[in-house]
Amino acid sequence: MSEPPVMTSMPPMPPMPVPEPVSPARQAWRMFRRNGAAMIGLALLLLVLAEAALGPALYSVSPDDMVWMPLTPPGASEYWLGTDYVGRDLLAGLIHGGRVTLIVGGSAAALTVAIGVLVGAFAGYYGGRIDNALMRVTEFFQVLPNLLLAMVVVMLFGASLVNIAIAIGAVSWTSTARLTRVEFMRLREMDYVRAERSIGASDARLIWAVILPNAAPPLIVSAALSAGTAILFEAGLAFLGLGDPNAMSWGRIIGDNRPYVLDAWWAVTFPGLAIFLAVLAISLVGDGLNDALNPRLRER
Amino acid sequence: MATLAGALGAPLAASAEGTLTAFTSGYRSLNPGVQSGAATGVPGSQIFAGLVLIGADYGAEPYLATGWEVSEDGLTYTFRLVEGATFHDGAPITSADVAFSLDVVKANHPFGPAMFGKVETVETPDDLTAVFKLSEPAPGLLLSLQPLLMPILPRHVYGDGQEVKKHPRNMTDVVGSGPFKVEENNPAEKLILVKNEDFFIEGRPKLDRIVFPLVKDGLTRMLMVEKGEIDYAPFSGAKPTDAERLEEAGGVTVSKDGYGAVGYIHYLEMNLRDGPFADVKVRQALAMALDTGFVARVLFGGRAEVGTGPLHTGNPFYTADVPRLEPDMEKAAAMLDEAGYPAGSGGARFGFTLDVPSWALQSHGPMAEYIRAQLGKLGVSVELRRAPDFGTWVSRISSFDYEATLNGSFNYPDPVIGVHRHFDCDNIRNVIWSNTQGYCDPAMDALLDAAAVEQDFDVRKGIYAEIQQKAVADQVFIWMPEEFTTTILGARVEGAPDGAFGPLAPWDEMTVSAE
Repeated sequence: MSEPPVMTSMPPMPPMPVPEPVSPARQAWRMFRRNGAAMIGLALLLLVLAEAALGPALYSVSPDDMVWMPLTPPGASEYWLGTDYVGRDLLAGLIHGGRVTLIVGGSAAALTVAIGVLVGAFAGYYGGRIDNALMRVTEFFQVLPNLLLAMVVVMLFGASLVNIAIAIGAVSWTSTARLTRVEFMRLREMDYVRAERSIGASDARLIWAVILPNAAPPLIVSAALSAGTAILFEAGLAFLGLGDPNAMSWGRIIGDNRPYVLDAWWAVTFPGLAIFLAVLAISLVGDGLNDALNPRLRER
Repeated sequence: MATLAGALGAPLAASAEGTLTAFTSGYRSLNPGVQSGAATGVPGSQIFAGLVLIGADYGAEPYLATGWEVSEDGLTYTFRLVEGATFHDGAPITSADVAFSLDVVKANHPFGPAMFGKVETVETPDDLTAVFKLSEPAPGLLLSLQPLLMPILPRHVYGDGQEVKKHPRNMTDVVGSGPFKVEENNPAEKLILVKNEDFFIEGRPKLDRIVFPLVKDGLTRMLMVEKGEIDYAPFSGAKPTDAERLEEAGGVTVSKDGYGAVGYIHYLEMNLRDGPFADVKVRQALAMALDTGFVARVLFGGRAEVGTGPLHTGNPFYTADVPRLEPDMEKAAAMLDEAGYPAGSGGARFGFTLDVPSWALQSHGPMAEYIRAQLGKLGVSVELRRAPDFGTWVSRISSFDYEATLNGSFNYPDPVIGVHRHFDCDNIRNVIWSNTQGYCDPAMDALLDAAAVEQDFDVRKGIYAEIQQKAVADQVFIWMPEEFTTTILGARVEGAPDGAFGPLAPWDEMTVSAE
C-alpha cells in the first residue's frame, strides 16, 4: 500500500541571471515603446517637427506672395492645396505657418511650465503663509476665463508673436503650479529629503536639486500636454483676428479665410487638420509619457 | 377673423404677409440727427421724416415739405409743410420743429457745420412755413434736407434742455415723424418698427412691420439671406464671392444701386508730416507700384469699381479725367532711387507700419495683404498693425500717431460734406475722417472755397474736376477700389427705394408678397 516514494531530484539550479542595471530613462522608453498609440503619436510628432524644421527650405513658394487666382480649389492649379482668399499658396502657408505655430506653442508651453513650477515649488516647499498667498494668486488666475484674459493681453500690448506667447503662458500656468505644489508637499516629507536637510542642505538645493528631479515625471507630462493646449490657444487667438498679421500661422490661415468658408472649404480645412494632427500627436505622446513615467503602472 | 387674432397678439402666418425682415449690425442711437452712419441711418430714415427726398437724378422731391422757393441770390429758402402731419405721439409737426431740428443737427451731427454752417436762422412766420436764411449760397443744401441728414425731431421731446446727443429718448420711447413707429427696441436682440397709421402720405407705408434682428457676423448674415430669413439687406456686407454664389443659387437679387449718394470710397492714407511720405515722389512711386486695377479685378472679383480720386464714381461731380499714374514697378523703383531711397542690402529701401482698421475688414484685409506683398517686391517693407477695435484705430489716427493706414469714407451727395473735410487746411484736426494726414495747400483751399458757393452746376462741376485733378497730382491719398456696397433683395420684396440715397430713404412703398 505504500507507494514507492517518488524521488524528485532537484536538478542543480542554474545561477539566476543578474539583471543588468537599467536606467530609469531606458525603462521608461521600454514602457513607451510597448504603447502603440504613443508610438503613432511620436511618429506624427516627429513628422510635424521635421516639416516645420525643413519644410520651408524644401518648398520655396513664399506664403505671402499672391501666386494664383484667389480661392482656387485644390488640384486645379500647380498649387496642390489650392489658394486662399487673396490667392496665396495654401501649401506654402501650411508649411511656413507650422513653424510659427509650433514655435509659439512651444515657447508658450515653456513659459507655462516655468511660471507654474516656480510658483508651485515655492508654495509646496514652504507651505504656510507663502503657500496661502501664492495659491490665492493662482486661484485668481484660475477663475479668470483663459481665452478672454489672453485676448485682453494681446489687445493691450499688440499682436506680435512674442506677446502672444507671453499671453498664452501667462494665463495657462495655474494647473502646472497646482500639480507642482502637490508633488512638492508630498516629497518634502520623504526620508531622503529629510536626510539631505539634516546634513544642512540649503533650501535652494533641496528645491531644485533634490525634490524637483523626483517631481519631474508628472511635470514632463503636464508640459507636453500644455504644448498642445498652447497651440490650440494660438489658433484660437488668430481665429479671432488677434494673431500677428505679419506671421503666417495655422490659426491665422483659418481666421483669415473663415469669412470665405462657404466658397472655399479647403482654406480652413487643411490648416484645421494640421492643428488637429499636431495636437493629437502631442496628446498621444503625453499620454504615453504618463504611462511610461508612472512607477505604479510599470508592473503592468 | 385674422385681424381679430392679430389684434390679440397671436403671430399668425397670415399677418406675416406685411412683415419685412431686414437686419441691423448694431446701433447705439435711433436718432440720425446726432449719430451718423448706416446702422442708425437705416432705421432712422424710417422713424423720422425729412423735408425732402432725393431722387435717382439727385433732384429734390417733396416729402414733409410740399414745395419750396429759392430766392434769386440763393440766400433764402422758403418751405411749405404738409398740412395735418403729426409726430408719432399725435402732436402736430410745425415749422418750429423744423427750426429746432436744424439747430440740433447743426450742433450735434458730425457734418452739422459742413451741411448747415451757412444757415444763419430759420424763421417761422406761421406753423406751416419755414424760411431758411443763409449767409452765403449753399448749392448742396437741399441734398442735406432729406431724412437721413436732417430728420425732423419733435421739439416738445428733445427741447427739454438735455443734451440731445445723449438724450435718453434717442433710444427709449422714441417719438418720430416718419412712416414707421418704434414698437420694440432691444438693441441686443432686435428692433421692431410698425406702420404709422397716421402718416402724412395717404396709403403709406404699405408694410405693417419691419423687423431688424441683430446680426453682427457677416457670415451668419449671408446664411440667413440664403435661407430666406432676411428679406431685405441694405449694406449687406456681402463680399464679391458671396454675390457670385447668391446669384448662381438664384432667388435673391444683389444690387449695387442706391449707394451713389453715400459714395463709399477706400484709400491708403499716409501721414504726410514727416518721413518718406512727406515727399510727393515717394507717394507717386507707391501709387505706381500698387495696381489697384488688379486689386479690383482679382481680389474683388471685378465687382468693385476702381477708385480714381476723392470722388466716388457715382457722384454727380465725378470726373475720370485725372492725371492717374499707370502701374509700373520699374518706374516706381527708379522714382524711389531719385527720392533718396535707393535699394540697400537685400534690396531694402525703407519700411513703415500700416494700420488696418477693424471695420470693413472684408475690404481692408485683402488690400492690406496686397500692399504688403506688392511693396515688399519694391523693397519697401510693410508691417501690418491690426487695430483690435474701432476705438483704438480712431485714437491712433486722430492723434496723428501713425505712419499709414487703410481708410475709407463717405462722400455724401454734396462734396462739401464728405470730400472737403479731407483737404481743407483748416480741418487738420484731432477728429477721425478729417484732414488727419495733414495736407495743406492754399491753392486747394481756394478751389474748395469756390466750389462751396458756386450755384451754377456746370461751373461747379468744372471746379470739382480741378479739385480731383489736384488731389491726384499731389497724391494726397492712394485711392483703392471702392467699397462693394450692396443691397440684397429677397424674391418677395417689391418697391424698394431707388433714389440716390437708396435704402437710406423711407421704405414706405415697399411690400412683401406671400410665399
